[in-house]
Amino acid sequence: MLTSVTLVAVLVTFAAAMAAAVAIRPSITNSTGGRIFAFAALLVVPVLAGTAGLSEHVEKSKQTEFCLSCHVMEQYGKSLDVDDRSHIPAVHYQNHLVPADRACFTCHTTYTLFGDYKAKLKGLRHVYVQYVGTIPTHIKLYEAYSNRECLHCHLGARSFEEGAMHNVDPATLPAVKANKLSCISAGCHEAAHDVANLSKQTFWPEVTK
Amino acid sequence: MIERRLRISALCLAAGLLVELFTLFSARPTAFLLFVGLGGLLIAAGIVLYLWTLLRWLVPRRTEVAD
Repeated sequence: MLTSVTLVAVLVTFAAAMAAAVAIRPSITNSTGGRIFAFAALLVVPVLAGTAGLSEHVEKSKQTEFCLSCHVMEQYGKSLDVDDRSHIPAVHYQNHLVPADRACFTCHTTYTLFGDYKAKLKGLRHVYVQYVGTIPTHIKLYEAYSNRECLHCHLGARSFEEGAMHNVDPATLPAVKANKLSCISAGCHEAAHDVANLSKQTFWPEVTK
Repeated sequence: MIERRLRISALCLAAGLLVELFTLFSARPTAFLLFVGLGGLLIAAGIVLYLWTLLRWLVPRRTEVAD
């Protein structure tokens, strides 16, 4: 089956072959046909191939595998396999409430390489720190976790809107929706990536890995 | 001179595209960095050099027409 990466690879190979043809025989530009070929080989096709490649890389950066390939993220990856229903990331990951192959990106949509240009610059800084700098022992988010990440799935869902604890106090749901009361507040859904206590946990024997 | 510039431009592009090809199958941050930092730079350099060559080739022709 042809995948998008295969199609991009074919396009890039084709583009490289066209550029190589001009490199070998630049004299082809002496004719009108040759000049058109060179225009395609040195401008149009490389731009297309570069854009397709960039798009493919951005898509790959959304994969769980991409995030967990950094050593510092290993513990966070392991926290997805915690065998405890109170652990929010674990229960979402194990039950495919988020796509397992895009677990990180689904709940951290604005984080580093996934966000706007400022976030992307932070993402590049992370890569720099990973390979050149000093990796901090304790990792924390730049900003408080926004309820927006939860609400883009849960908002309007019956289990969320009619949840018993959400409706004990009529002020709770509006505060959650307005991001004034965090979903991961103490006493609510606070168990998120508890990496400090991973050694005390048992893990789900994931058969699909 | 024009052919030499075209050859350099094409070589930059071919090298950049090869870097892109080799990084395409990896889902690691290093591959992304290599693609952007080296592949992107080579592709951009090749395109800019080609456009500059094209411009240098077009400008004298326009002058000749004016004469």
